[in-house]
Amino acid sequence: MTSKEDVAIRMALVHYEIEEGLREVYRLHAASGAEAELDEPIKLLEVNENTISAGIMPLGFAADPASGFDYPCAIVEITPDEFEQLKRGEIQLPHGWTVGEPLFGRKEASQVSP
Amino acid sequence: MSVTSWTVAFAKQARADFATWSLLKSRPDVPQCHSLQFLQMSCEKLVKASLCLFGADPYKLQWSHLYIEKNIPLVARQQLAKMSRAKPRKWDAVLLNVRHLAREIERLSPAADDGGRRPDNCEYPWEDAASQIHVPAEHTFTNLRLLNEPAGRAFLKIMHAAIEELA
Repeated sequence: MTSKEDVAIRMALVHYEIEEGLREVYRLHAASGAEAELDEPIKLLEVNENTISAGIMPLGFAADPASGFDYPCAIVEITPDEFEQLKRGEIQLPHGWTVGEPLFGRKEASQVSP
Repeated sequence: MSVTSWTVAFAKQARADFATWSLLKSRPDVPQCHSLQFLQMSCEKLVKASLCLFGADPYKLQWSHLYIEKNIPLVARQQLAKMSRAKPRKWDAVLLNVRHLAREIERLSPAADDGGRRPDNCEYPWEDAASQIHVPAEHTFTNLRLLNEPAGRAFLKIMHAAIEELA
């Protein structure tokens, strides 16, 4: 089974290829070190110029190993303005999640073999 | 994370709404507003099914109708991402149409009137800027004619696949 990290990077790459408005993608980390556990979903924060401002709404997706997505995932998609609000602490992530490492850009993602 | 019973419940209702839309749209004696209302409800419940996966309160979700424009493009993109695994391609045009359709489907709800700029909806009569009163049952929703074109069929296939994944 591919590692969570590789799947997260691949997912970010595919999203980037599909979504022209995508500007930045970050991993989100669960509270209390749970991120390393295999049953903890991959969580991505995606900053998208093409989305609308509607607050933090984590949308969940089931795992789909046939498509190369071996883990369930949650995607939080926000506008660039909302990302600035998040950085200033004016809006919060749910469940104690924190913003982790950036998965963008293209260079890191392309290092993962398909 | 496990697929919660609320997720499955919303997805099953989305499936039933989608099937009813499919049935009604082929009936010439059924006003377009009624079939479209089932499509709007189906999209809404699909989004709510996905939101329930991460602990959204299902009862709070029931009282809001403003989830489609924001979230259906993301649902569609995830479906396209899976397809890209087998056959990478650009989906810009598809996503553009998905955004358009999601916006217009959300506008079918009376609650989504875009600050009064879009009073047209599939449930209640409305008055336009020229003081003309419109009846949903007699109205042609031209902004959604894309549904009858290839781009619309692609949108519907994507929605159907996303519902079946969760139901």
